[in-house]
Order: sequence, then C-alpha cells, then structure tokens
Amino acid sequence: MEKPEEKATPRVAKVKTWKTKSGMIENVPGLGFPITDKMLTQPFVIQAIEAYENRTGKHIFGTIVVLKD
Amino acid sequence: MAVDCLLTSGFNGVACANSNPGAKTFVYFANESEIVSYTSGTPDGVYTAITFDAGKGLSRYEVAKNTLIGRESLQGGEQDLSSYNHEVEFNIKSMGPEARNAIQDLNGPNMVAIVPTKNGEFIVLGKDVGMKILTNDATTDTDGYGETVVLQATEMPEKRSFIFITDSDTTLAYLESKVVAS
Repeated sequence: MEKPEEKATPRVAKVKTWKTKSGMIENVPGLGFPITDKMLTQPFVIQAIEAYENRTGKHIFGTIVVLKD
Repeated sequence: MAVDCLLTSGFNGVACANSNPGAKTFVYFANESEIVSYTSGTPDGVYTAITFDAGKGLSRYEVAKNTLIGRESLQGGEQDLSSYNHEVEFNIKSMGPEARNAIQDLNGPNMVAIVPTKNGEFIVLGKDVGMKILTNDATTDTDGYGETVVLQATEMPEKRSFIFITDSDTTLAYLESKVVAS
C-alpha cells in the first residue's frame, strides 16, 4: 500500500533576539550610546551596532552582545 | 554620562573615609582603540569589566616609588564650560635603554590609564578619548633623575572613572589577568 505523502511543515525563521552577555549596561567607546537589553529589542539599535562593527572592525555581537536562548 | 544641568542628589559624606594620598608603584595602560566595552556597575562612574579585542589587554609599567600621580582638573570654569583634563605623571629612575624604550613605546599611542591608589581604588583616566604624552623629561641630574612622563587627555566630558569588582584584591587580580605586556 502506498504511504500517504507527508506534508512538509513550513519552517518559520526564528527571529534573532539579543542580550548583553554581562546582563549589565555595556559602554562601547565610539558607539555613542550604552547597550542595554531593552535597547537590543529595537531593530535600529541592531543596525547601528552592525554599522559600528563594519566601520571599526570591532566585534560586538558574539562578545559582549550574545543571542538569547 | 556628561554634565547634568540639574543637581538631583545630595552627599552624606563617606562612612569610612580612606584618605591616604598617593598611588602604588605600577600603572596599567591600554590602547584606547583595543577596548571594545566597559561594563557598567554601581554607582555611576564605576565599571566592573573591560572587554578588549581578542588577544589584546593591558600593559603594566613599574614606576618609581611615590612618583605615580593621577589627577584631573576642570577646564574653562570661568567661561561656564565644564570639560576635564585627565593626567597621569610618573618617573622611572633610570637613564638606561630599557627605560628609554619603555617611554618611547608610550609616545604615540592613544591610551587609557588605570592608576591603582594606596586606598585600593583603581582610577580610569582618559576613558573613551585616550591620553597622549604631554611632556617627557629625561635627565642625569639628581633632581628628577631618570625619565619623567606626563600623559594627558583634554576636553574629557566627565571626571575620572573606576574599575571595581567586589573588593580591591579581586579588582587587582582581574586587572592582572588582563595584562598582556609587562
């Protein structure tokens, strides 16, 4: 008997959410604003940090800012 | 945090005032450009960690006893301005090549200094802006023998900061763990 074709469930891309590794306020010289967990919920803050990384070659994501579980 | 326009707090004094002047016989320097972040602690002006670029950290300088001075001074007060100059001064009692080269290495980079005081505080000077050598006098004369150096950061938006983790011993251990050159 032929097995009924299983329907593939569409994968929902998980939205990346970030937090400071220390759980405290991080002050990055030259960034211009302190990084807090609350700030990291704003997409434009993520963009600003990415722009800072591109501009300076410094690593913020993965060092002082990490993915939430 | 820059200057506030309104005074919103009072000051109850210091419960147990440690008022021993002077600094220890070593100072830490970091390249301002190699610092990724300062982790805020409490109260304002205190940081509990410094994150460096991978493989980077502090340079430790041993200096002559009772010559290390950290200071700050308000600039432009009479013009209703409010920036600070931060300065570090020290002497190395040698005119030999090791002292010469150690000071030569300081001449050029933009540095943040951490001055350990005899009270157990660790004062951060030049944060976010960086310090440069302002003067360097080397002499064989008895008065001021050796290398005397003053580093300065100008137009700093706020007063000195501190590194402090739990207590002074823990803070010292933390800073020593960040030393990459001595």
